Amino acid sequence: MSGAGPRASLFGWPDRNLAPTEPGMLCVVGAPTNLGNPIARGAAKGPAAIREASRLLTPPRVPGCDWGDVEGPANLARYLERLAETTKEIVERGLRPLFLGGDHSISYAPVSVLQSAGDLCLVWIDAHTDFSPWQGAAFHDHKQVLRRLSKLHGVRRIVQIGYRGITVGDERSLGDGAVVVTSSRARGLTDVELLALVPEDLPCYVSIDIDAVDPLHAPGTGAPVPDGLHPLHLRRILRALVRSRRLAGLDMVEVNPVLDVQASTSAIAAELIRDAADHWGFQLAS
Amino acid sequence: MRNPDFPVDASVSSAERGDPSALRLVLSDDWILESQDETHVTVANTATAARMKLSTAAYQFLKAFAKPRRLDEVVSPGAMAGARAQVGKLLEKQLLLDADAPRADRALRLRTTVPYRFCNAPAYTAASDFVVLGVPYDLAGTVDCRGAPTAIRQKSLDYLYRMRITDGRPNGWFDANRETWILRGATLADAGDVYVEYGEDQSELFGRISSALEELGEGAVPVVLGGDSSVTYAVAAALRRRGPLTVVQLSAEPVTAPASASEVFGTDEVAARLLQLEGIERFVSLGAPTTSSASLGDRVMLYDVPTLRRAPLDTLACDWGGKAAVHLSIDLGVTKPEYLRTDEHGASAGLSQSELRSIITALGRRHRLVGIDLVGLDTRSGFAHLSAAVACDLALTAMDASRGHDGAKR
Repeated sequence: MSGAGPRASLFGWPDRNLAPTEPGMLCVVGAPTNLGNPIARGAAKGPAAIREASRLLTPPRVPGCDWGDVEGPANLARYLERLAETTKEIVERGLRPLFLGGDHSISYAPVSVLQSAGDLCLVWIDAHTDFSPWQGAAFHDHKQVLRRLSKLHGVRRIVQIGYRGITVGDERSLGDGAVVVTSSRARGLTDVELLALVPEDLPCYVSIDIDAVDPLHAPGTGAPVPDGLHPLHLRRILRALVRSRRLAGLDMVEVNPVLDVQASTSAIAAELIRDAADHWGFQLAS
Repeated sequence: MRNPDFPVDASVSSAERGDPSALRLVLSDDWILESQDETHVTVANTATAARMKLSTAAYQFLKAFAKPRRLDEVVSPGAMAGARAQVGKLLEKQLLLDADAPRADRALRLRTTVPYRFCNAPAYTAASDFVVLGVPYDLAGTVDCRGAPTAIRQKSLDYLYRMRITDGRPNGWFDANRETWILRGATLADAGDVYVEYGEDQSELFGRISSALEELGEGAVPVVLGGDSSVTYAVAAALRRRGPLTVVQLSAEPVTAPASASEVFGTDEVAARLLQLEGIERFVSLGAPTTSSASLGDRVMLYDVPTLRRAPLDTLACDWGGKAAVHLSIDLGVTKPEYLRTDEHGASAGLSQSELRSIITALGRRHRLVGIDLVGLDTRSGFAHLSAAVACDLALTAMDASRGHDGAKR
């Protein structure tokens, strides 16, 4: 189940087998799938587009390695099993996974693996709560994934950031141990206020759906919601988490190059990752 | 110029014209063969959507009227009684016509069904608080927006219209930006699109828009999905019949050209044309990034972005009088990234999304919104899918604003 070789690695990072590894180092994995998004196709091209965009950026100060893509069967449940196996291999090597989606359903795989090793705080940065019910469906899709994750024993805390727009129901309450910070509130959130929501004693998994960003900046995504966060708001949030909390892993999902305008969305995704990697030294020391 | 409010002639059933055996009969120009098998065919009238299943023998009989003929020229005297009954049905379905009667307007249909309904609301059948009507017409301007009603409706499926289990009333929506419920209990229906026959006179279409709005009744607030901004003219021209009307347009590019003498007018002269109509009190344009020097007289009011940021619309709109009847037109050109995109501090060159929402809400607080339209969505833009999302957001915001600040139905 080794990853297929990418045409271009993220930031030119070496293959996982060639890189000198250091415990806690970031290991990027592509998850090129649309299987969890029954409405919009194109997110499967996200990993390649983000890697391509990263080539135009100065590489981050702290290097990582690139696992390549996890190719898989056309069945979401089985594909997620492969992603879970990859996550285990990465963790066994002492590395931290950074998944490039793909649609948001993929986050289930790494989180389910990581929470089994110890309690987690899930920071879910997204315009949607992804808490739709899934009665009757065989498996979760990208709109239900957080609801499913919330039922995992090791997911002790959920911090949802970016919910906004006009929605069918009031989604601000996601159950015990969860808090929702709407986009309007997130704009004014200080680092201190953010970190107060994220327990210091729990490792974090940070999942970034690019639709948290205002679609006028990042139009290449399947379910854009107007009036989102400026990329700099998101960068500030991410930087605070990287510098002040232990991150067990992270992902960047729902970048859809088919819907993008002048590759601006994949560029923003690459810049956010670069900024996180720039400060990854705090993680290596933790 | 033909009166744009001219209603489409009601079609007269040919069956009402007496004994069919006395008529010269002819096949409708609008008939088509829809399907066939070994024993039957289905024929349809594309103008009325009427269908009829016929035996192959009856179909051969129908084809005999490709040229105008009397019934006795086609059937023998012994078969006349049966043929007369068959002809009666074909006349009722308007598959056969009286060849010597004046033709009704070709476009008999006012409205057509659509593949997606706005927010998946029910199809219009009876009175509701809001009725959505699409007008896929864009020949008055240069922007490709005839596909906009479909694009907006398709995106609106993210904003489903739901009923409460407890009382069967509409649930409304939750506005996460303002952290409040909107439109609770408000009923919504979708009446489909106004039928557009590309190539027809503009005035024919405008007449059909007027007739469609008349058919939908005065109780509902129409939410019209254009089309280009000439649709605003047709809608406001119809709504002014219900009483004096102020037209407010949210637009980054005010339409201030003088009225031309042409029968077909362009989108840039909507304001001037509207002010020629009795009952249109004023035209207000909100949202140009910079002050325009254009002037169409004291009944045109332009509030640019700096002005709107200096003083709230509540204050600016005082001189329109209290509780003016307002038709709100939202030119979706305001959603272009160069106007709408904000920096990290929330500043934008045009009105931002939150400013647009605030202005719409303020309008609803001070005045009565009696009609809403959304026009000018450029479906060829790379940002079209985003503009459609903004359109849905603003449409629901405007609908909520029309119910006043306390959410009460007007």
